[in-house]
Amino acid sequence: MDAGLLLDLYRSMALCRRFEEAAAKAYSQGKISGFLHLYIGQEAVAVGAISGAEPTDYIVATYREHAHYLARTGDARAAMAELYGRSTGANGGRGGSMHLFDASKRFLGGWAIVGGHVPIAAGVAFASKYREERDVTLCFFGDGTANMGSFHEGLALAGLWKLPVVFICENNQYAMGTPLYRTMSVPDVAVRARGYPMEFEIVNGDDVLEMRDATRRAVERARKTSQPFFIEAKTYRFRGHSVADPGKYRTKEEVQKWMERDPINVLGQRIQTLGIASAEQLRGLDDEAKAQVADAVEFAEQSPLPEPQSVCEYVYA
Amino acid sequence: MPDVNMPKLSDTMEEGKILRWLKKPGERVAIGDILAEVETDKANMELEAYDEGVLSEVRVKEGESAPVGAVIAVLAGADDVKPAARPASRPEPAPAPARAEPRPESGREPWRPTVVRRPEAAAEPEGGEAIKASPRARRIAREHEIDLRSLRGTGPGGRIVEKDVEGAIAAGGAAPKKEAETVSAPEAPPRGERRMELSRVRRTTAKRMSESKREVPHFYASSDIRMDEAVRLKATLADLGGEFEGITFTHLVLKAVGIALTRVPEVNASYDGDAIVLHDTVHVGIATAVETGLIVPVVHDCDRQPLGALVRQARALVERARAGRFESADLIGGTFTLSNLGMYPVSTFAAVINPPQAAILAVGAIRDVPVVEGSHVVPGRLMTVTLSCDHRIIDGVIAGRFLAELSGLLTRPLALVV
Amino acid sequence: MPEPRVITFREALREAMAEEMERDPSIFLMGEEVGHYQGAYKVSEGLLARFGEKRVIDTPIAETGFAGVGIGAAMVGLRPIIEFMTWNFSLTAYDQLVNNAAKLRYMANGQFTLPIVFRGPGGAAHALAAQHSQALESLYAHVPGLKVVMPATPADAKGLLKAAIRDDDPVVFIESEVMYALKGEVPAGEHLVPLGVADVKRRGRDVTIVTWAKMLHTSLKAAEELAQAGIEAEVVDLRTIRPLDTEAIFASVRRTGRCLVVQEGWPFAGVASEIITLVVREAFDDLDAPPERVTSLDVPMPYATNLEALVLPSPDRVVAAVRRLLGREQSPARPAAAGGAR
Repeated sequence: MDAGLLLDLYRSMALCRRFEEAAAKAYSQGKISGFLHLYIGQEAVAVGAISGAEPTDYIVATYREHAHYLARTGDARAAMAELYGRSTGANGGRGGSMHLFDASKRFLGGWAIVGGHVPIAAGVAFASKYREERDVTLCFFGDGTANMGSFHEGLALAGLWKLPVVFICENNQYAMGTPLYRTMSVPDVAVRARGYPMEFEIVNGDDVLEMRDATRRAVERARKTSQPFFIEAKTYRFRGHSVADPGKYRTKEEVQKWMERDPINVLGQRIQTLGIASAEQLRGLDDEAKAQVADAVEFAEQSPLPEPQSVCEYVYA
Repeated sequence: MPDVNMPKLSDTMEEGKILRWLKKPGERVAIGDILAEVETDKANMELEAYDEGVLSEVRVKEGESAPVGAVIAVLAGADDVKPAARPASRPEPAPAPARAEPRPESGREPWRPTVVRRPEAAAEPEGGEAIKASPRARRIAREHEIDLRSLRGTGPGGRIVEKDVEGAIAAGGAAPKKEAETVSAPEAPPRGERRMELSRVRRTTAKRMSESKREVPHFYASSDIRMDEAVRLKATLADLGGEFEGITFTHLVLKAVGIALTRVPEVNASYDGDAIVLHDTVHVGIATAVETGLIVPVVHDCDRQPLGALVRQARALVERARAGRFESADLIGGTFTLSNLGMYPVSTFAAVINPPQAAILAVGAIRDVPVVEGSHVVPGRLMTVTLSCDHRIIDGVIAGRFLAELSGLLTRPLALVV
Repeated sequence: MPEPRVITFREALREAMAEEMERDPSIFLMGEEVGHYQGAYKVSEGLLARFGEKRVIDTPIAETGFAGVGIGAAMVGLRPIIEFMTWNFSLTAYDQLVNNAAKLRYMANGQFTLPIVFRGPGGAAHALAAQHSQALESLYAHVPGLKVVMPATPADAKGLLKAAIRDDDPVVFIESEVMYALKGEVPAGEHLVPLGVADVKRRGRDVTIVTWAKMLHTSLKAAEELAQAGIEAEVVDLRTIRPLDTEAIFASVRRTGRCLVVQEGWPFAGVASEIITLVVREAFDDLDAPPERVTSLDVPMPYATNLEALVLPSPDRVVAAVRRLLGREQSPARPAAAGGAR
């Protein structure tokens, strides 16, 4: 086992966790506006999957994408400044929490109408194949997306045209505030991939290594064979759908049970068991993450608002 | 001593209500502990602690509300969790801190209404009723200083449109400014010219007369009236003195007009846009030149008052007018106007109607002329009167009937005194 | 300089695509039946043979899917032409055009361009009833971030489509089934018509008719009839709805003092409403009459052909509107089809 890799994954997940906590706090203080969808509890999915792909592979994600952005870019400042609506944000304050983009890092959003980005991800993969480039596209979405028409059309075209795209369903058990069993006719989203046809794998989304390995296999397979692949990551979000959601539709016991398999703790235990680092050293990594987030908050707070005269820029090329 | 503030728990939340405190003053609080339940506009939320310490004070009681950001409790004895040192590898924040102003949080100024500036009213003569004209017609009229009220609209619903204004310009005279600009080369002003600002009276006269001449379709009917007997009567009455002291031909004509108007009431009328207004009373204005311009004092009830009373009233009016001491009541209520230039060597002239009256009578000087009586030519005394009529409501026949009545009354003027 | 040729609207579109695809390998055509079927309306006839399956791509009936694929491909540098068999079907992909294509560049702060053309026939054809007869340009023109192009002649069809393909923004390019066979002169050689530039198709001094696409021909017919009565109508063909060539509109209205907008779509909150608002604001002092519009009646399209004819703007209705503008109405010799939806 690569000790450096495990510590990197730990650091990355801790950054995501501390970032979301800081965002929640800033939101409660009225410093961040709009919708804020936290990723706390699901960190292993984004961090594991993105570490399993090449930095040149494309990422297309949803409105719950802070962690994906951080896992790809590591740029907590740009992310936090964007949440603050500042000119130094990832999109100069025009996108906000739900629309993070970094073209240079091939991070392609940040899409907030459920399902709409699934065909877009297929299109990015289409372009790779058209140009005979070897890049693969990762497409993240939640279990709720699997009932949207755009999801099925995107998968159908990816299957039909054999596009190099890996669909990663983050099954956190709830489509907004409604549990999956009330909204879906099958317990596993992944079986829906079968008809397109598409190979799939159901993964423990709280295990960052399992997530990484499954994604790596899928990405390399897509790269080699130009076949789409479907991963369903079983996971859980500890918070509500957005900060405005108290999550009352879940029992304390249920939340507690899932928090026991907190992906950061799971990895921390393994690191200690393998003797790679002590609890003390892990706390050090966590402190680094906290410091980076504190710096990002300070950066965001010090950053200027977007120039008013820029309001009409970038509507057209 | 970190404050616990009312958190913003949804995108639309402005205040929150404390449903229940889960920590009591004196209790220890760790980060992530639930402090209270808060009711927001969307749901009941749990308020978690972002700092640790001992809850020392609760400032908002259960059941009470507080705005977002308000201090609702205080934590004591907590070590301030300072952000760890910034990693050296990270670059300094690029933007200048000064640019951080104004911050959104600071933008809580009271709302102020926007001051709305009304656009200037379209060029319409003062006191004018709404004129239906297209914006284009208005613009062209403005550019050529044309009074829209002098135009008749030919567009849908009588709207004045471009071609109506262009027609007025083409008709000439209506566009002095434009012509001056295009025709006359720069010239030295004539020597000895003096510029006199218009008096208020003159200004009103100018406005009303131009309106009248532009808007009212005038026609004119004249009559030569034998005044031999009237001349004799006037001399006799003047000799009598008393209430007839200072009697003039104007007074005789005034009385004759008063009676004629009752006999041909169509002339004692006004034009009201969509109706003819026939006046029951006969009040005749006398156009009078004063220093500041032209005014028209009104002699009331010319039909019913005896001649002597009319003479008194008319003399008093004219005196007051010339002295500038007239009252506004002296100048209003006229139903007809008389303009007499008989004291000058003016044989005939046509007067401009005083709107909204239907007609005006212009009276010339009494001349000695040869008159054919039967088969003889005899010396006679003739006075030419000219009736200007608003053709919108008076036709030639009516003018003729009026002049016939007037002529009869003045030719045999005894009726004026009995 | 070679002589202009007379070709059909359909051929003009095909030439535009073929020439551009020849020029730039990043351009591809995707849509239902564009390849092996040779195009539902034969616009893409022969392109499959010429460019192969890689670049002329048949899709399933899945507008959301292939519109989204086009957007994704354009995000990373390809230049897709997405054909909707008709624009009525685009409504199933409305989310892709409005929420994604129109928003990307702005919400990503200019990090992306989106060079994509969505094209196909729009508006009524004949007796296709309510779901297949819609003129939807007002819906798309409402959205900042989209450009909306609607040619009315073969020459403009070719020149505008080539310009749209070369444009770096998403372009909604609406053709017309009933114009595909329309013949007209098209300049030989390279022919480009810039987006956002209107064209005066007929000169006149009495009234300005602003129109576009199929309604250009309705308006020109009306102008002919008006000329018999001594009324000279100026007909401004917008060609591009967004960006709107406002200066061309204002310049003409300033000359004539009267403005009529003729649009095929419904009256409520349509492009005509926008143009009239702008004209009233910007050319108020030049107006000699309140602006008018002629639009479809405010109803879904009926199937029966006699009813359909009542719903669509006709030369008669245009003539009547112009006469109203000029205050030269004729006695109602013919039945009033205009109804309440002027």
